[in-house]
Amino acid sequence: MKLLILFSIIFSFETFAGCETYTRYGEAREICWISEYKGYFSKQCSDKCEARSFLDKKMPKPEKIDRKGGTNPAAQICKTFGYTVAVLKDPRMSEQSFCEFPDGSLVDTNAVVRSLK
Amino acid sequence: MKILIFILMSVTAFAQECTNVNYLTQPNSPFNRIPVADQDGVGICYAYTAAQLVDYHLIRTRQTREPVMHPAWLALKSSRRLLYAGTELNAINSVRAAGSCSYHQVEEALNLFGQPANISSQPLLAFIEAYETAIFTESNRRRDTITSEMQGRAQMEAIIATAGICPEGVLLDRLLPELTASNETSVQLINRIVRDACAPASLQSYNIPQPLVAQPTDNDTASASLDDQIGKGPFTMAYCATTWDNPNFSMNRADPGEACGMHSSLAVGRKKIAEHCYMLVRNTWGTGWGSWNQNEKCLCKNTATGAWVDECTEAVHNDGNHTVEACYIGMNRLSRNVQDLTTFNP
Repeated sequence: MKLLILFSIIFSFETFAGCETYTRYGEAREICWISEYKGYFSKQCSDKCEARSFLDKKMPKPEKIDRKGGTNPAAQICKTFGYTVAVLKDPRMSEQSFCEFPDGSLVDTNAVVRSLK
Repeated sequence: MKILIFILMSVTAFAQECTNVNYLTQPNSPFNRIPVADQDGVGICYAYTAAQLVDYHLIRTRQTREPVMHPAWLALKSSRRLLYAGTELNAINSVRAAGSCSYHQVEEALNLFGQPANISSQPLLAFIEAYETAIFTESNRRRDTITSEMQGRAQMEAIIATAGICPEGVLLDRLLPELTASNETSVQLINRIVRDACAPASLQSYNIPQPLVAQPTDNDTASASLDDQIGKGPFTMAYCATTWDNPNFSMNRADPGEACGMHSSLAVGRKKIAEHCYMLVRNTWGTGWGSWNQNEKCLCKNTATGAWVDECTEAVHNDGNHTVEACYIGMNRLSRNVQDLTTFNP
């Protein structure tokens, strides 16, 4: 039984680890790395969330994106799927764009791009 | 004549050596204080890189300890209408002439304006960019007529959907009444709001040198310019971002066109890797691994220890423990795609 608990702890650590506090408009958001997807997610995605569901769909890559003004292509791809983009600051104050889903879940836009077929 | 030949040979030898330069990792680098930016869908890459170059200069010359330049300030000051149609040169010159509010003041003013609609600075800028672009296409019609028509929502909601922001259209309620009342462009309106929020006493003037622009006419002069500039310091460069996705892409210098995906980034170093010369580029697309850099060697940083990991690759460092601070691109590849370089007169 103890061994089973130990394995459970190790397994959960491997799949959902490395949480950090990001900020969005001054509000704190817990962002965690999920190795299964090689992406950063909002903490609510430790279980189910729309961000994970979207990546599981493995959508086809959009044929064309608007890159006028050197916009971030990953952020633009998120928008072509109809989702909004939120830019969060990490604890070192560097920025990363996240795709935001209707349930409030977030996933970094690069993970979205990597999930596409 | 002999002296000229000697100088030419020296310059050529220096370029061939591809000596190691890295303005990110050098001790006490001002870049330690300048975070990596993500411009999202706001097409003001030139303002992001100009802001970082100015901040680098201000910190290096001890005029400030922390970054003070907000990209939106530079874009608003150097544009009247279409935010994305700016240049690094104009952005730097505008802040030389007008001075600058602090980053936090600008951010606060933008957020305050968008607060009733729960909109922050980046979606707000993306919105006015989309708004002005839409109006620009109908330039033969009166602005106030178009604006009042947009209050009918249908057309404006299409713009909002295109910009991928604010699906409830709440920003429309915030912005349109003010635009109708003032008959300003939305860029002028936001510029006025930011300027008003920045009290004259807090408007800082800085000692910023005259920016210089090199515009190579062919690949050879581009290569020489890149080599020459990086020896003097970091610089901004306008180039075809398509080269990140397609290493074989070459810019049509007569007409770069849409396929080029004109972009601006900071060149922050140079290094020889496997007998080839590379430039180190700091981008404004966040700290992650995307499709654009997945095949490149980059300069990473350990998020826990702050240790640099040079020549990091996706296979090793896409692990949740590192950020990508800059990426290497072949000198030849970059030479084929760079349009102009902006730096300060030393």
